Amino acid sequence: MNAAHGSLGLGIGWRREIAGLIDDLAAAGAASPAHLGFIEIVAENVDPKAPPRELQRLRDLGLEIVPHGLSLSLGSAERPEPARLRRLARLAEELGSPLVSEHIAFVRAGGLEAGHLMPVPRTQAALDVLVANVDEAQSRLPVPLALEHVASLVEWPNAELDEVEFLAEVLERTDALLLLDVANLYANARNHGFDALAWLDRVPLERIAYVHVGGGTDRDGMYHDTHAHAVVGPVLGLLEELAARAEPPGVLLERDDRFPPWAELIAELTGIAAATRRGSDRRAERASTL
Amino acid sequence: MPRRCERLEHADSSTEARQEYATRQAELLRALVCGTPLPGGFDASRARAVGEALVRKRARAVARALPGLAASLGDSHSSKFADYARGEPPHDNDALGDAIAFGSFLDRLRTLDARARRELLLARMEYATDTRARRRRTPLVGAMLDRARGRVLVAVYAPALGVIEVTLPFRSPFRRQAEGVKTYLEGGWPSRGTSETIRRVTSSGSEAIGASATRESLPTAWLRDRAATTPGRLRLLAALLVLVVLAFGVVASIAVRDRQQAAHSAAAETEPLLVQADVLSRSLSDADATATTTFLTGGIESPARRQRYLHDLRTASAEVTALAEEVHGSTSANAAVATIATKLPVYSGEIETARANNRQGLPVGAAYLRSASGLMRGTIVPAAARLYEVEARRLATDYGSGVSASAVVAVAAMALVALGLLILSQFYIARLSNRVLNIALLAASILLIGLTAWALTGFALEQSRLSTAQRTGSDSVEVLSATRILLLRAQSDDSLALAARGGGDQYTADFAAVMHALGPPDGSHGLLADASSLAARTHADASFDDFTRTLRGYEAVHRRIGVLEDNGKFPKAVSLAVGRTEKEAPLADRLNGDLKRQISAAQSRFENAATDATSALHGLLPGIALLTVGSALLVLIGLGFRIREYR
Repeated sequence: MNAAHGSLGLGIGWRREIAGLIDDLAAAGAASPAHLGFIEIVAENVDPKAPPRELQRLRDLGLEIVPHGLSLSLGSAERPEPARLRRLARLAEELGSPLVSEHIAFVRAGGLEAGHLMPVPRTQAALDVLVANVDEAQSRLPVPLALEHVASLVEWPNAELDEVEFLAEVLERTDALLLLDVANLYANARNHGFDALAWLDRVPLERIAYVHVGGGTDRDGMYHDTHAHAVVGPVLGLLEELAARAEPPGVLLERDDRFPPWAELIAELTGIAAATRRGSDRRAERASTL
Repeated sequence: MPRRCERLEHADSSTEARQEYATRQAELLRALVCGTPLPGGFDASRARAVGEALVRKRARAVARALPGLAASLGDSHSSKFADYARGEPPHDNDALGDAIAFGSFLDRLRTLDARARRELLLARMEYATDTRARRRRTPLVGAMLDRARGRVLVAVYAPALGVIEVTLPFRSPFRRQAEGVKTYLEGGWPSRGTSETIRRVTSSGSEAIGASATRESLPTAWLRDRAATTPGRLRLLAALLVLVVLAFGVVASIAVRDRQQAAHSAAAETEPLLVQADVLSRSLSDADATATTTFLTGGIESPARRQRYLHDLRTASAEVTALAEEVHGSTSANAAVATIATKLPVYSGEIETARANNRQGLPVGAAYLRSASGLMRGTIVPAAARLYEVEARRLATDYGSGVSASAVVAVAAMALVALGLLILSQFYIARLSNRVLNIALLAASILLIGLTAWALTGFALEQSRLSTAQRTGSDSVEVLSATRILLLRAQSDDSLALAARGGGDQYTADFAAVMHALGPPDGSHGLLADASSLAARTHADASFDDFTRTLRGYEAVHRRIGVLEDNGKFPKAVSLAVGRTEKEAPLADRLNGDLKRQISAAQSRFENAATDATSALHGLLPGIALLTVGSALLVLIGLGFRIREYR
């Protein structure tokens, strides 16, 4: 099922605060309660000229490292900045990464930084600009690029396409991979009132590079994708549903703030692995009954 | 504060579609982060929720970057940040820059407590925020007044070492002991920014910089802490290398200064004193020789000889006065000066009495002359000789420290330690970073090797020139002036023996003893042998040969006087002794003159060589300062690069 490339396995976003936990899990390998196959680093926080030595150690232990960009702003009306692309490319080379990922979003405009991933309008015109930007980024990157759809409370008016249509067309036209974030899917489905399972049925699953799972919380009747709270049950449910449709090449937990005790993080990782397995089992069952 | 919300930059878009799209994106963004009116079609309440979520997210990141600031603000942190954030859009993935700007904003309103101000100061010292927070590449010093606790905090930032802070209590001297002085060598990961650094500082020290904190940060715990991580070890290594390199600079500077002082002291202080002591001895001896010789001529004394005697006495008392001011410190020298100063008037009084009696033809004059001359030769001249000895010893000490091996050994040992450590560090770093060469450390090593070579060459040159000064200069001066004093004594002996009219056997014996001490003119032994070898060494053989020829003539005349005296022919003997040509006194004067020229030649040889010795070390002191500081900086640069790789 891994049309895109080989399996990454279970992963977690590498942050300085939990570097020790990741070290321990990686060193324990298959004996660990959560057997890690890869990590993701925030591309902006690692200097390609001098990556932290911990990363080298993790590579030596056999983990893949995926740089995850936040600031390319591929959804901007402007073209991506060559310096940012060069930096990301160099990082991927330094770390021997199999791929890099970025968001379908814009983070700056008119000299202002958003400090946040802003959605792009789902129109043909915006799609053209986005595709041109992604093409340009891909031409400058040494490894495949995976695109992540974002969660957003606001939406641009006058949408010409729905979310899945827009996403599928971007992937189709750019040949990019998909970084599917089940938490973002859950957030948007809830906040904008669409059916997440229907979304999963229509998205090009064969393009999935890996899957993001993140925590969030309810605030004023809205679901906020914070990466600072525990993963909620419905998100794990969506992960299971996804795995029941196609084997995800990798599943990664994102936690950026308010780090819980390590035991809780390990429990989340095992919960993610279990949900994936449940989905896979359902798929196998279905295949055998056919 | 740049109010970026107030301007709208136009994007460089390739197409008109992009241009229009860019404007729409910018309008939405400004509405969300700056609170400008929302473009049509967007859901206002959701946009507000996004804006609020964005500020919350920023506030969290800022609290992580400067936790002390957040802790000191407590519950008001988020509301105060929201106030600030309204006018200040987010930075480009730069929480630390955002945090520093927020802290500075509050600091200007004077709403921060000492703990938050301290954290802010340390962060601002370490990071420049002109574009985004970046570690400074230049050293910086900052200070903060903590009125509440009555102390001043001084912080110094050095690129490779991090921030070192020292708190100085200024109010309560009784609490000072408990507080002491704390230093931190800090650094951290830029992703967590100063946060981790500061957290470490805050947890171990900030609550207190207070009294209990000092006990907590024992040196061993401090070291263990730092040796635990590679960047920590590199930082310790940097500190150690800088210390050792600077210590080398200090040791080398002290060694050079000692040598310079010794050479300078030999040339400019001790040797002139030695010359003064020599002039004193000689003037005294010459005065006595002149007085006794003049006595022989009876009532008709030569005005020239009388003038010479008076001149000698004036010179001697002037030298005694001068030396009295210079020889402070040595008790034996002081005693000698006191003896000369009190006995010299007694001597001149007795000489005047002897003269008066002699002019009247009274035999008692000879008794006064003997008493005076006895005082001079038995007390005054020996005191002058002691003075001379003291100065000669001092000169020898100066030579000793001017050529002492300890300076060379100390400099070489320190150089070995510093270079050894530098080279080991290079191996260590090569192993650590898989890079064979660390150019900066290599350059530092080369600088140190060059400096060591320069210093040792300087020492060797100075040493050889100083020993030249001694061998060709001051040694000659000492031997020649001793010769001169002995000759003057011999001359006095001669005169006194004649004045005693047959009763002067003791003077005849003294003359023989003096001549024996001088040794034969051929220079086979005695003082003249030394003088001869020194003359050969300094290529002054010709003038020395002249001198020995004259000395032989002098001795021949002396023998003829002895024969005349033995035969009772006193008037003839006296006329031979004090006559005008080919007589004893003129010959003695010629010997004196010869010696005087030789002494002043040796003196100028000494001065030249001693000046050369001092100049051999010229430029070395500033050179040491410059090169050691240079190599210390190179060490910081070289290790700084490695340390930065860990961020």
